[in-house]
Amino acid sequence: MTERREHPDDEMGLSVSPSFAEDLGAIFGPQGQVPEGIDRAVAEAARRHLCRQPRRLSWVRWAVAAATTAAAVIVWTVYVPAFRGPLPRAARIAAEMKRADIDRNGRVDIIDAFRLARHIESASPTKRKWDINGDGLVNRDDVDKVALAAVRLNKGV
Amino acid sequence: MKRVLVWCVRSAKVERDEDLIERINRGQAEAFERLYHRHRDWVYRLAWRFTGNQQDALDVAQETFVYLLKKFPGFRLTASITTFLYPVVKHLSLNMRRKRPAGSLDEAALAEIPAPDPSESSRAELAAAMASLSSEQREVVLMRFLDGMSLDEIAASLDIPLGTAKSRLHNALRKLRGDARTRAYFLE
Amino acid sequence: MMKRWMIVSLTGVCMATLLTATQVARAVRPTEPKVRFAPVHIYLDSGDKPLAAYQFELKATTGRIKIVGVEGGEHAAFKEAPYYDPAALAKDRIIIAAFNTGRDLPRGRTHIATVHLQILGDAEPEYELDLTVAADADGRELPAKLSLERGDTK
Repeated sequence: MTERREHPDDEMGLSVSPSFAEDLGAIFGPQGQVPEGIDRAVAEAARRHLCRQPRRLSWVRWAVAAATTAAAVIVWTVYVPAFRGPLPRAARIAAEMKRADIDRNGRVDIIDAFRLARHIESASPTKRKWDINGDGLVNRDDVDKVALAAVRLNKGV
Repeated sequence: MKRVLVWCVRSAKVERDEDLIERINRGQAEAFERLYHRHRDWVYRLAWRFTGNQQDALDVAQETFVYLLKKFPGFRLTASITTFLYPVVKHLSLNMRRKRPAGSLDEAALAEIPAPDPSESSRAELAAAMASLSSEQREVVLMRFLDGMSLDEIAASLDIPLGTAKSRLHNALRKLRGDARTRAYFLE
Repeated sequence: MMKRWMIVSLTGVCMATLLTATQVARAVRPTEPKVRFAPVHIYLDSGDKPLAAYQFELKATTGRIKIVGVEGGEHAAFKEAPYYDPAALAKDRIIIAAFNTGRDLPRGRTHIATVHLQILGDAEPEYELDLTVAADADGRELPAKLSLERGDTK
């Protein structure tokens, strides 16, 4: 299913009712949907075109990436805990809940995950603090993490 | 209806367009399919607006993605994917319409719109009010509210200055707000 | 003759003893608790507003249950399994949530999820449903009503 693009904030000083977009969609939207035959044709074309391309594997790039990853793992597991020490479980959960409160309303719920997902899908610039799982990326993994924080039975309180 | 019991936590993944494009450049066809499904309906809706015809719109939609596919490998996204695809859809639609009798693009689309149910008077009035806008104004209104594009994206897609895009939208909305048929859509 | 009579008597006594012992054993064996499985279908009524996200908590206030599974609803927007804490499985309390960022969203009374329960004992459990939040496509909270229907017990 194609995802809905985020509706931008109004900049014209004219607030428009949500039914405006709905009615425009009903008037100007096409009747019917894209048939599966076209989906299959595009998928087949993609497979033929992309799988044909020679894949240039740069061993130097892979070696550098592997070495960097290994160094990062060593630093993170050996040195960072030595400075910081392992946090108590309750404190870890509390810290995670604070990061997961995307809309900063003092509560972690599914709306936080929803807002983060919408933001990612709109391809707008992301904030480092939204990297909930600390993997250096802000993507659907972080959205899942926020959603799981919302449904957690033990919220560390 | 078949239902599936789930015993473990869902972990669906939705990547950004830039991430998908990176994977497509590495030859991953599945990433292109994801990108296609994400933007397929928008492309089809846009093509339908330009061609005014379902079959032509489907042809344009397919050709648009084939055109995009041929950009790989080596494609780099410098704006949003919709900003990139908008002129492609428009160009392909224009070519398609050259085979048909003359008439402006969106006027043809308006003509193809089925007459609203008389009981849906607000939609009928909105359709009439939209028809009274200039084609440039109508286009920016639809790009803004139907396609959900930002003003920057609208300006980039139409290759016009941002100020021009703002001005067209502002004038269109002011006209609709002043129109008794569509005033109710505007909040105080 | 005497010997035959003694053998018959002894056999009879043995059989009577065996029979009595069986009946006693059956009487003292503890009755295994009755176990059955039942789904609970959750509905959310968002009125005329499109529903894009929800979160609720379900717990048993009476009776003994274990949560054994969670399923999505009927509308395409919420067909996939919702989010829940795996720690809730085999407990009697669960928080369930889901969202959809698409345009095709349900309105009105919608079946959003099904929770599969193992019910222990004869007592019919009573449930408490608490709606934490329901939101529209813009992430704005909207008033909604939550309800449940019990499915067929197996």
